[in-house]
Amino acid sequence: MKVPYNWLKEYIDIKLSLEEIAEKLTMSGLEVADIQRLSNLNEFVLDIEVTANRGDCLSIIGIAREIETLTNKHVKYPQALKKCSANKEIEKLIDVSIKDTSLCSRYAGRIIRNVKIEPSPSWLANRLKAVNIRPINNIVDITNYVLMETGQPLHAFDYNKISGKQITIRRARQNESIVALDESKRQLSRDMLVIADEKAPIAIAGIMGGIGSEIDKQTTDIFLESACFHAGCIRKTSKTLELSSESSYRFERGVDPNGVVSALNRAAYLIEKTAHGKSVREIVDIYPKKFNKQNIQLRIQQIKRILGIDIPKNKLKCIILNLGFEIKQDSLNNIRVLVPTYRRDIRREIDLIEEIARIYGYNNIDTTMPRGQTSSCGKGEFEKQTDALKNILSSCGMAEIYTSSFTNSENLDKTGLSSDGVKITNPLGDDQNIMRTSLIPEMLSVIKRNLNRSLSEIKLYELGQVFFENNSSYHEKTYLCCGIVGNVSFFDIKGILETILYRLGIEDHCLYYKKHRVFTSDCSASIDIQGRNIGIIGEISGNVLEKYNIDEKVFLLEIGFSNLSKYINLSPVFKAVPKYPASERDIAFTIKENVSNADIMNIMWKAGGEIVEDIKLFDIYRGKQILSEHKSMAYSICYRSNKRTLTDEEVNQAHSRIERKLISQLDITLRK
Amino acid sequence: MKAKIKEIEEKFNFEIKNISLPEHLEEIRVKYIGRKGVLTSLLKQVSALSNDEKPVFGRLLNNLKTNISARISEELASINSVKRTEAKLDISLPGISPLIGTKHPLTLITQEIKEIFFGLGFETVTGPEIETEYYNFEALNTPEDHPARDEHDSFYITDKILLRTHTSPVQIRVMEKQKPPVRVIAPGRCFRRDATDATHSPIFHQVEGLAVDTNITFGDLKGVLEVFARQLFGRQTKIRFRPDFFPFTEPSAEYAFSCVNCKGKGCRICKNTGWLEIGGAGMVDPEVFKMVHYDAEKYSGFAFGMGIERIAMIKYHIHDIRMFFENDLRFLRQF
Repeated sequence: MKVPYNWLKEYIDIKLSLEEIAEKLTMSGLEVADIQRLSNLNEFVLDIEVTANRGDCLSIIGIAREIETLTNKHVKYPQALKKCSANKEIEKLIDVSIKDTSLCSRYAGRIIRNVKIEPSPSWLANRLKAVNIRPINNIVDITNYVLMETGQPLHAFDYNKISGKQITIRRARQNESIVALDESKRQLSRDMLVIADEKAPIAIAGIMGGIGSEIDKQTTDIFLESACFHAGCIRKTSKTLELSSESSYRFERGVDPNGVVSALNRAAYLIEKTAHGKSVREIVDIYPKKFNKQNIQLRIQQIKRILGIDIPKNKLKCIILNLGFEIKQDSLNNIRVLVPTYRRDIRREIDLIEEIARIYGYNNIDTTMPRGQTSSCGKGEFEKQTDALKNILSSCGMAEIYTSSFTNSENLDKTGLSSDGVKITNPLGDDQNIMRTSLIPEMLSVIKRNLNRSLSEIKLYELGQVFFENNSSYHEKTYLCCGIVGNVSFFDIKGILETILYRLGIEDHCLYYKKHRVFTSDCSASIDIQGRNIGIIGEISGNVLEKYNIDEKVFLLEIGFSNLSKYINLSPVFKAVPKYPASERDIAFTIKENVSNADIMNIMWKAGGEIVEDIKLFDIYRGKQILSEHKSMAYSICYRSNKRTLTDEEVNQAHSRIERKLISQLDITLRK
Repeated sequence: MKAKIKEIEEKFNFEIKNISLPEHLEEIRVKYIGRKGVLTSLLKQVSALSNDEKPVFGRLLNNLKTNISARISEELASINSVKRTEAKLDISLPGISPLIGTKHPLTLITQEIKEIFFGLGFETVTGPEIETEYYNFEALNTPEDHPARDEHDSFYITDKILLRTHTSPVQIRVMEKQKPPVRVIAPGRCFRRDATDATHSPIFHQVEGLAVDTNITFGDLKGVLEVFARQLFGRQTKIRFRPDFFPFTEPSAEYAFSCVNCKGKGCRICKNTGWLEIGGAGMVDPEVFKMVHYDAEKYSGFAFGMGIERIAMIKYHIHDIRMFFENDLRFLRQF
């Protein structure tokens, strides 16, 4: 809301400086975001941010009223034509009826004859320029001027263009349309309210007039409308038609039905003054159900209960009266307050308490701390797990990233993922129209971006939500994605996985070869925990890398962290440090290439018995000394008992059991 | 003889203390235990002693010889090691740093915010990012035709399902499940259909706070946010409340912290106002209590919200919100 300072001062004496007034307004809830100096108009303009509940402040007089509350000066209301009650006389000139009184609570009008359409005088044109409204002609400009002055939207029709001299406020009919003043044709529907003449709509109620009844140079007689339309209906129509105006903006935020006629008379006064017109004495005024002042009971002790302070009663009453409210009854514990109808936001006791707090000053309310119980246990279980995970990954040298939740089918396609994701009906662009189903596409984009900046040794992770749709219900899961590039191999990403699982207290997991479209054919695996698949790990396939224009090898894992959660144990139970010494024995052998480490380990663990504490692979060798399609593997086995010191004999027995099993089951050749 | 041995030992001990060059050590070695050294010549004299004295003095002399020899090699080793260090180590060469990972600045700030509220007896709760209109708007006293919706341009999945535009729906979800007392904070990702610029992003993060009990007041809201401000930005931080409007709180406030950069004097960061707007807050509107079947006559509560990016930008002097989502390692590794 733009408020020219000189204009404002016409309605109220201001003793304070411009800056002081701006500060006072800001601190009472009308934020002065900016003060602009218009040197050509010799004017300062306050740019005031009016909150959605304060429709009454969308006018210069509204702001003046607010200053009245804050400074105790009185608002001087501008001159207007005398109030004339509705009279039979005017009914011969125009026939007005409201068909839907739920959408139009009051409709008033005046007929002004013999106006001379001209450009506005400079004082008027300059005022409009100061509030960013383009001057058009004296009549239209006066309706806009009074709109800015009083907050009451007005509209002037060319009286002679109203067919049948009949005005009906009704819902639009199916298939009706109107060409609005912005010269574009609008298709109307049943839930929109229009002003219609005998034949067709001549205005979209509260939003914009039609071009058919526009004021033009030939106009001599006008019908001036001042009305009050339903906020919700105007808003819906404005949204549907994607058409808004200064009028619709104010109707959406609530216009005072009791201000309709005074604004009409004010405009008529100005038209007589500046456009030579002569107003018909009587007015049209259809107001089926009078809007009364809100009558609210304020319990004094509720102020203390909500705000935490006692405000002395005389101070309290002073604030209420300064707000322009009336005190109807005043007893020991209660005050009955009448609220003027322009304050449509004040309907309940709590609204009054806010007004009192606002004027008393939020910063004058004492600061306290909440007392009483709390059932808090701080972090939730899942949160502890994600925090632990992030600590582990940081320790592994990984940098955390935050990427967009939006993706598109092309991106999903690039990584071989299905593009069946949750779709956004009104995305900012087609490249952001699907909710991500995987963190992999963005991980690869981020890797590419960093490679472009000549960074090597890239180790990244993201923990974020992914989204799925299942029979019109929506599911969110927390996924973890880790990607590494640089001097690394599959075993680095696998090492990260093992570290994560170990540190999260997950003892058993298993990887098995499984083809995934995003990975190369021989380096692609699924991760299982207790038989449940929780994620995938591998090397990104050349095909995918090509689409991302990445020349480096990328190793990556993605885990459904929500699914992992129930296996996590963050409170390890202490195990006694071993008391008795360990014996170590090595074993080295050649074996066929196709036998996996896992197969060998399984046999060794089983054959060794309970005195095997640990088995470590320490060497793999392939070379001239080894048969082709064979490899040499060397393990170090640690034997220990927690009950006694093992004898050499016991250890030797176990070790040779292992040797024998390996020979019999895997056809190894021991190397001595 | 005994006296002579003692004298030699003392002389040796004195001389060796003042040696710093290996060549001097060698001289000493020759002087004492070399073929023509003092000890060697003394040993030769032992044969002339009586049979009783021979083993006694022989042992004494041999012990001394061993000691001297050991002492010399000890000194030599020590001199050599000092020499090697001085000659080869340039401690100004760069250290070898272990690669440590980093948490995203938004994670760090969120954790910091949470820790402060844990200390005030709050606990964390979460809610879905895909929300219903009911939780995002209606239960928060923001019906469809409410102009307050203008500030919440939303991404829709269907007519009634959208991406949450704030973390406030979590308030409703918590109160539906739990009876007072309630003290929760809800951090999370939010979405608004805003064009991206230096201070706006269609994807952003908020923390929501809610406390409901039989005796919660506006003064308590001020107290909690004041303690929060001081813990986050330092003891000297002041807090300012200004009336504002949200459909789900009444009274409603906008709160600001005194500028961390200029301490309230006015600078570019605070646009010369001395204040940094942080978020919205207020007392839970009775209409909201009605939606979750809380008795507004019995319970009162406060709620507040803040933008995590906003706080991170203030804290780390970041001027462009887009940095958070670019994931440039040169940026990420600074945290």
